[in-house]
Amino acid sequence: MAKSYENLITEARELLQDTDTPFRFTDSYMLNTLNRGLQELGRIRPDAFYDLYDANALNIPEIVDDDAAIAPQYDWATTFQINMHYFTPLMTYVIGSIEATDDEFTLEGRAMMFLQSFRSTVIGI
Amino acid sequence: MADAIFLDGAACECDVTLDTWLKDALPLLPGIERSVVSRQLVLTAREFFERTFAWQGLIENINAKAGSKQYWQSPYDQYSNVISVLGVSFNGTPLTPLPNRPPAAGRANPKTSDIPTHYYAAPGGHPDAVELYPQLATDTDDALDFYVALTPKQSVEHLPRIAALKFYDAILEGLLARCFMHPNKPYSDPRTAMLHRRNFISQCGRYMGQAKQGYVQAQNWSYPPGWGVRRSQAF
Repeated sequence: MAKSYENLITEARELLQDTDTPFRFTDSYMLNTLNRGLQELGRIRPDAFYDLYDANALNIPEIVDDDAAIAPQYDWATTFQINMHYFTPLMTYVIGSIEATDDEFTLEGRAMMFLQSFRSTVIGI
Repeated sequence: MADAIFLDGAACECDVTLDTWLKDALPLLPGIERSVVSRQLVLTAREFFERTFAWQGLIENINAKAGSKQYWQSPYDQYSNVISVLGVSFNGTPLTPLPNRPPAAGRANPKTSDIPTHYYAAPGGHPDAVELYPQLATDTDDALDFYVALTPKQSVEHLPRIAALKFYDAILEGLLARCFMHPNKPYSDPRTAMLHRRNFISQCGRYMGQAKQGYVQAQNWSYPPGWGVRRSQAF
């Protein structure tokens, strides 16, 4: 079954141990982080968005929690539009970025480990 | 100003899918986008055929028209474009290629004849369009044959059968070279890219030679019929 951006957020919450409602990190906060991750991916691996080429640009989608979203914004229930081998790196980016902002629960080095994992997996074997 | 005449070629055998190469290339390119490698494959094939003129076609029995005419060959069909006119014959007699338009062809009252002797590329950088010299005085049906070199269009999803039949490894070498040269990817390998690139270039030279021999090891050139023309006859 195809994964959606919503699935990515859900799986990131599992590793962040933030699955009980009310969430510690709001959906909009998670989506903002995911969108920054997509933009970072676009900087490092522009080819990831090759299939979204339109109007002379490799368009990076903006993911929102709104089923009335119009391109270039997409509802988070949309099927993951880029190759699935970017699913895990983006999840680690979301986890790493959020861990970095969470002073109280952050274990030393954990945030950096996830952020480095993101970078190394998208440009290395 | 010459009138344009657009010609259609017979459909060529473009029935080899890109998957044929991707099956061998993808395992060597971890993390590459399939659409990117497909695009690189088409560009590699275009480069190969542009370098070698190894894919050739014949457009025959074309009506020759009187007056100043340009014979446009592209698009050859839905898969290919003409990148060079390798030969033209008029009623079975080969015409001599000229590197430039003869000055006399640009006069207000240019020379005309019922039997053209030369052809040249249409002015303005059109490798797929030619004009005849002298201009025809009268229409002649089914008189012209054009031998042309072809290249796949950028939009194709299939390549010509000859590409898989004969040039498979050469195109694969070129494809891998292009992909390995990409910067900062899991599959980047510039040193190996240069190895593949050298192989590709050397195979281009080999197949260019074979194409000139018509793939039957024929003598690859002959004196054109206008070779012995007297100076007094020149234009």
